[in-house]
Amino acid sequence: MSDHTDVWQGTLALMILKTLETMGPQHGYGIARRIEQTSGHQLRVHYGTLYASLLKLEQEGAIVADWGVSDNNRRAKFYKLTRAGRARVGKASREWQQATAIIERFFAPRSTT
Amino acid sequence: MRHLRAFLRRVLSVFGRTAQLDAELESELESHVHMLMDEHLRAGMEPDEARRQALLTLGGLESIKETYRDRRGLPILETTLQDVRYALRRLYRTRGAAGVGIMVMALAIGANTAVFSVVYAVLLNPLPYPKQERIVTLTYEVSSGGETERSTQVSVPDVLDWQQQSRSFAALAYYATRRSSVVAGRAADYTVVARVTPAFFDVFTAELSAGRSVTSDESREGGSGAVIVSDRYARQHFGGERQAIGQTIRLLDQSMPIVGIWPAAYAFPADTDIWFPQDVLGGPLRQHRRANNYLAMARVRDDVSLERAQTEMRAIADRLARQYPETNRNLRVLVTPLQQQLVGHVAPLLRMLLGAVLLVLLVACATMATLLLAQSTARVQEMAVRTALGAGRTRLVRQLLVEAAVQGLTAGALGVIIAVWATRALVAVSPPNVPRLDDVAVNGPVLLFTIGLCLLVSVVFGLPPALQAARRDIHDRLRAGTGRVAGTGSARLREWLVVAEIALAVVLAVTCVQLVRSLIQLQQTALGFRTSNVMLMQATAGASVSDWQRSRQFFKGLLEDVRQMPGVDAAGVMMGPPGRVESDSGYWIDRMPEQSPLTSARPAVMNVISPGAFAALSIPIYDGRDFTDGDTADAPRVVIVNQALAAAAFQGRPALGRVIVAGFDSLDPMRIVGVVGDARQYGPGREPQPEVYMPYQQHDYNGATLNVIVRSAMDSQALGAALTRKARERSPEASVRVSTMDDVLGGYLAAPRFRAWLLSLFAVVAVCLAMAGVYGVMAYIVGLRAREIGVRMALGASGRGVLWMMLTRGVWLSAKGLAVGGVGALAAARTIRVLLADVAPNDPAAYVGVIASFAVLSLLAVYVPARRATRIDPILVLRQD
Repeated sequence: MSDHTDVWQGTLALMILKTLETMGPQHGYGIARRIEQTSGHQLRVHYGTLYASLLKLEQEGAIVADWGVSDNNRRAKFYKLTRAGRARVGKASREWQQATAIIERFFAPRSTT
Repeated sequence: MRHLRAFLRRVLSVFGRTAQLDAELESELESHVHMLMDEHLRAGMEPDEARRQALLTLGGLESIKETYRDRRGLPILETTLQDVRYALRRLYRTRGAAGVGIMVMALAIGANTAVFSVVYAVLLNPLPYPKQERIVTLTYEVSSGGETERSTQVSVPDVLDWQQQSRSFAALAYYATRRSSVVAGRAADYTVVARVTPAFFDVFTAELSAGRSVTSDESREGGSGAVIVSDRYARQHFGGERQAIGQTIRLLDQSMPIVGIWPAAYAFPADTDIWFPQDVLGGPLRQHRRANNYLAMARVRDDVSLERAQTEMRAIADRLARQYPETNRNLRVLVTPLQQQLVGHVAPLLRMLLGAVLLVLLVACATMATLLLAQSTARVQEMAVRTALGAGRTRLVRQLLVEAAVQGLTAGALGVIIAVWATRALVAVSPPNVPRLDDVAVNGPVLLFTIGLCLLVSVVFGLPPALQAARRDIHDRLRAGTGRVAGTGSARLREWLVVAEIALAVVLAVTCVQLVRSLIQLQQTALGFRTSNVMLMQATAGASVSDWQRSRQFFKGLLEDVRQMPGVDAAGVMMGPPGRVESDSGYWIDRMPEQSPLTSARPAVMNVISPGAFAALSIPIYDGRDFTDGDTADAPRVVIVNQALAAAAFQGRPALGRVIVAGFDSLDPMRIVGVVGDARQYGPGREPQPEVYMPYQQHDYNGATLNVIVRSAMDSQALGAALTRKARERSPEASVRVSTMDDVLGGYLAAPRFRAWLLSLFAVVAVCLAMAGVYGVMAYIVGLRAREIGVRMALGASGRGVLWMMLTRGVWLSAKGLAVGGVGALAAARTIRVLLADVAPNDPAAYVGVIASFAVLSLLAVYVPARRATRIDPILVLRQD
């Protein structure tokens, strides 16, 4: 367990949105699993933070929730991206890539002069 | 945007169905657990173990829910609501004590709201004209002997010069209003007519609600003439606005069509029903620079500031003063915003009311704070327990403030109900010279004021106890509950509050006593004439104005009819009865000098009367004779003067037989045939002025309009109806207006009576509150020191000794309050000096009386709890520990 890293503050919302974008409507459990899988089990999701985060996104109008039935016939609350949410993912991933690209240059091995 | 949206949803969810949302979260988490279990089961775990593992993975369920809930709502809002609920519960539990406090505050807030709603409508609410702040009045400022005085009436030549020389105004007009006899259809009525120059409507940028404005053909000198009427007049006389257009009215012998309607809500001056626009106003005296018979107003151009307009007018006035030193030497011109000019005369009254009612509010706040402090000391232990359980200092202060705010707003809600009622009462009893009273209502701005007031008040009376409660450290407080520590800090604060209460109440009471004394003095002033059982009928003969001999015949005949009516003791005719002076001019002894006649004239009130008028008013004739029917136009000119004039003109030498000339309708020398007693022409507030009485058959002023004065013990309604009938029998087209002399003079007493009454009310409330405060604090101190007193008595102190100890303490408190209050009252007296008639502002009797009665009252308030202290049973007190 000690090699697990907690999800960084502020990035969870983006991960949730990205997950919903790639996988379509998903319940809390599924989102958590997916984030852990995608990170190669290096990240551990706090469920309290997860549900609070989902609620925040819902309040902001990025996602909507609806009750449905899961693959193995369990009643579960499914979250779905809204149009605003989709736009936000697009914008955020562009910004993210830009930011990481900049950071990368600082850490990249110096090219020969 | 998205943060706002999230915020709103969070606020809403606080008031939503939280139970259902909780259940939903519960089942969502439940399904999450099941999915985890399924996973573990698939990996081959036992069901029990699978569930245990699932719950472990998920982490503490309760902490998840807590995080979730915090995000769902707004924690600060929720705890505040919690405080509110708690405060309401507490309020309900302590409804006896809290009810008293809330009623106290509700009364104070209600009174404040009512007074503010009047102040708002009269002083603050802008006039309903486009860019109303640019409408100004142009008045003289007359300087004489180092003092300056505003004089609103101006002369036509001056206005014409202003018009020609000024560049600051988009429009400049002058006008005069008068109640005139107007014939509409068959009946004649007194109607308020404003004779205005055409620019008058440009000053207001008036929009007519029907018809058109008056054309230049109609308004030019000698033109056909046309009038604008108010919608009210159109409805009353013609049944509607449309119907009135094109109808004809007759005014001053001239028949004119109605061409337009001005809505009464916008109409200026208020109560005007007919506007008669003419290019040139002023009649025969319009060349005269000191015939100040008109009011001037203007609209300042949009690109010119009021200051620049004032500067320009000052320059013009200086120029005119050099050009016409004889008439204009001491005149300057003031440019005043119309609103300020309109309400200027009531502003001191309203400001005094607002000040008084704010004092009441302060006293109420202090009383409330005393009550809360007493409570908060009783709650020391509750607060201590809360602190021990982890409540922070700010949390406690917040809770106490919320409690205060809940009380304040409850009081405010009750206060508004009181205010709606009180506002109506205030308008009903307010003096007749307060403008714009129709607009007074408890409306949006007023409610905003009240809510702001409530919150402010809550903080003011809630903060001291709150800080107090949160201050002392927890050990002290837990111990204090056992009665060993009498919180000295809170006791001092409370005592200061009581001192403040007494001081404020003293200020109010002293002011009130002075106003009441001034009122009594006014009421007891000998007027010099009789007002009871005297009736007044203003009448305008239907005859043409120019034919004054015929109108005098009308009055002569009417007088004969009236004198024959049963029950009539005396009757006469008068142009300007006391209270309704018509003309104010000057006179010369022997002859009018050729050099500077204007400056050498002595001021006097001018009056035209018939025989019998003095008898009807019971004005004594001290010397000589009354007029007779023989004093006709063909007979020698005679005159009667009052004692004030005789004293001023002849300094004790006999006046009979002397000759005077009056600056009136003719400049004929008149021989004095009688001297009569002084009558106060301008009501009880002003000394009697010199007056010249001239026989009505020798003078044609004021045309066809005079007043019939009748003394009779008959019922005024029946008498009024009978008089009206007699007048109409003589001339069907006569306009009449009947009133009693008491009513006419009552107008002078209305304002003093109004403020004296209101202030008495405020003062009584404040004194009661202050005494409640003194009593409360002493009772509290006795309770707090019960143990100490018990010990003293156990050690042999006598009951009298204890009583003495407590009494001196209370008396010392109120003495401090009285001293501070006395000083405050001196300061207040300076501000109300303008409102006091004859009472010197620092009437020592008022101070001594009020302070003495306060001393007695507070001694009583102190005595009751002090007496209780002597009955403390030492055994019981000592056993309590």
